[in-house]
Amino acid sequence: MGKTFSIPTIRKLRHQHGPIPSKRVSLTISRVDSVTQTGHIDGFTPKVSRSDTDLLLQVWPLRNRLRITRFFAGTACFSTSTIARAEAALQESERSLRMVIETIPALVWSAAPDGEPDYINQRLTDYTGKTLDDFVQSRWASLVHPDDLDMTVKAWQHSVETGMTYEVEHRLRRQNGAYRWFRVQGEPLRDKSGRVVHWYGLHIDIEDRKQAEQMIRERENHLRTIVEAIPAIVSRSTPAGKLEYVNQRGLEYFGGTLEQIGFHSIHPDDRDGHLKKWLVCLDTGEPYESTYRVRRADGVYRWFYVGVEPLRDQEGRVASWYAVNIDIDESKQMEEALRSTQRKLSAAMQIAAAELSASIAHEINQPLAAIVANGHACQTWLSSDPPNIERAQLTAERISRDANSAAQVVQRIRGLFKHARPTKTPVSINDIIGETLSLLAEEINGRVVTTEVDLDRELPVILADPVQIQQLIVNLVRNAIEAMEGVTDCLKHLKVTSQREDTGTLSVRIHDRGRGIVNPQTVFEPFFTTKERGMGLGLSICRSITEAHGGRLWSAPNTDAGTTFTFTLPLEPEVFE
Amino acid sequence: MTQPGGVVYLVDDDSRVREGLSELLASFQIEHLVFGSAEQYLSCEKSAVPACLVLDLQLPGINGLDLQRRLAGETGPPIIFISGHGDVPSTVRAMKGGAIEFLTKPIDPVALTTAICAAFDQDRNQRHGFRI
Repeated sequence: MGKTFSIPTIRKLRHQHGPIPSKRVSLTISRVDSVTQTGHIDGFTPKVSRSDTDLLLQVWPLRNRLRITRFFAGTACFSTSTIARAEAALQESERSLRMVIETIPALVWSAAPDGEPDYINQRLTDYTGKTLDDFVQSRWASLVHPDDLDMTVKAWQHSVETGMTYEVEHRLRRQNGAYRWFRVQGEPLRDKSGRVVHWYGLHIDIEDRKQAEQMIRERENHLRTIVEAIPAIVSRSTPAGKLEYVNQRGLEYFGGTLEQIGFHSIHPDDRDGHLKKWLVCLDTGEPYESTYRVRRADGVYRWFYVGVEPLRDQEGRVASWYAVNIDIDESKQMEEALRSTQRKLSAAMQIAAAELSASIAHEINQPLAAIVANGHACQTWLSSDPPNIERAQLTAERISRDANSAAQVVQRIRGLFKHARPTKTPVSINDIIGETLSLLAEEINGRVVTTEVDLDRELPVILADPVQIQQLIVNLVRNAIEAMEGVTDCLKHLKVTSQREDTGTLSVRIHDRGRGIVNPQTVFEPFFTTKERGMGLGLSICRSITEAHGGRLWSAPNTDAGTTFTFTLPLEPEVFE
Repeated sequence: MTQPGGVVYLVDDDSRVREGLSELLASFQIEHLVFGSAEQYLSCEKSAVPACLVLDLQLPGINGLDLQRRLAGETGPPIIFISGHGDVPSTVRAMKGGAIEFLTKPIDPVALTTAICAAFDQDRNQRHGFRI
């Protein structure tokens, strides 16, 4: 059989079998004087005792300090069954080990202490399409991705030199030329003295994990790009409200680090209000939005819209607060300019209206004064003795002349209001209501009036003159606010609603809780007024505007308190003109 | 109606008002002269009899209050102001300037004649005082 056992094995066999019975196993150790280069031992003939035994031969050298002094050779004779059992056990153990090595989902290899590969498992061969020969003498390096090669070789060399665990991630070329990522781990096997006698290693495929990581990185990058690119300051705070992230745009705006950003950047006039809202937010977990001025790095305050929303965990607790701050300075300035223009226009209109009313009053009063004087004169002429008929007639003629003159003035005024024809464009009545209320916001807030707005969002666009409709709503809302001026016994509440009517029209209602009006019809007459100031043309103009648009305007007392003014406008453009 | 002895100078820029008031004064047998402007009034020769000035507040050129101021130093006739609408500051100024009365148009005939009588009395006393 020619199998060679090492001395310890023979010793072990001898130990197991006790003094080896000569019939079954005989062990002879002889001294040999020389061993040829080919391993043949001169003058040594194994002695075979029985036919069912097998001969085992081992030669081992005996050294002194300098050289081999002599050789010994041993033969062991085993019974065939013993050997067969030992071999079967060994084979079984080997087979099971090999099975483990070939089955584990990894590429397995081993290498000599100098780093030279001496075994690769079938999976490694299958993956690379290479045999062990293609791995030796560092040829394995050609299978590593060029970008990873330098680092991999260095790590391996370092491990071989120091005996430290080899751990690296690199791409390995597959048979088809594609690279996949692997996590590589190599551990040294050491002898009793601690010397590395062998390296055992594993390549574990981590391509999927790497791809997932890459995807997450890309997605993160993508999100970061969005967060950095959107024209807004984005921030995140802890549930307790401590700022923990601000995007680059924000840091640049404030011109500082995260730690330097705080409430002190908010305009002093807006700071307390904002802080109060923010504390309520933190307390209740409710989102909020607001506008405020924030100081830029150069000291300039700009208007921002801020919206804050909480992100909640599965238990519903606030996990983070997310805030977006959008620069609305320009639109705010425009809004302010618009409001200022509106104020000036309104003031100018009031002055103009005052002058107009004075002029109208004068125009009408003069002929009336003449009529009255003539009337009295006429009476006096008639009642004198004798009656002066001639003079009485003259004065009567003058009376009718001056009365006609007054009537003409009235006609002229009518013409003045009539010629303002509306310029119709498609408009959203709800938008106009919104704009008007925002224009009047200061007046409304200044008089501590609570406002309720209930608009029908389904209303279609109509054809109307936006300026005139706005004037109409301005007049009606102002009227409502002024009607509530002296009210102290109940809440000053203003309500504006819009809705669609069955009659193919839309209606807008302005409810007030004022003192109410005695005769709902007379208020629309020109020069009717209950106010100290004003000429009483407001509601008359309102009625002219609605009628010019083919609509109607009326007022009715509320069941509880105050008055509701309602105007309707046709939805179909053909209805009016 | 008793005819007060004296002459009324009526200044109003509106011809219809001028005509009406002139007719009214005529029906009351009150002697009067009419003027369309302050300038016309100033350029006219005044008679020596007791007189009063019925003066419109709003006049083109020299207005009523200007004329009152201008006449303040002279022994001019007492002034009765008439106006389309009497605003408070103008009324105060007119009365402080020594006006007899401030009447709003349309003018109540009784109030007017009462004021005219009072003005004639004042002017008569004034002239009498001067003579002494």
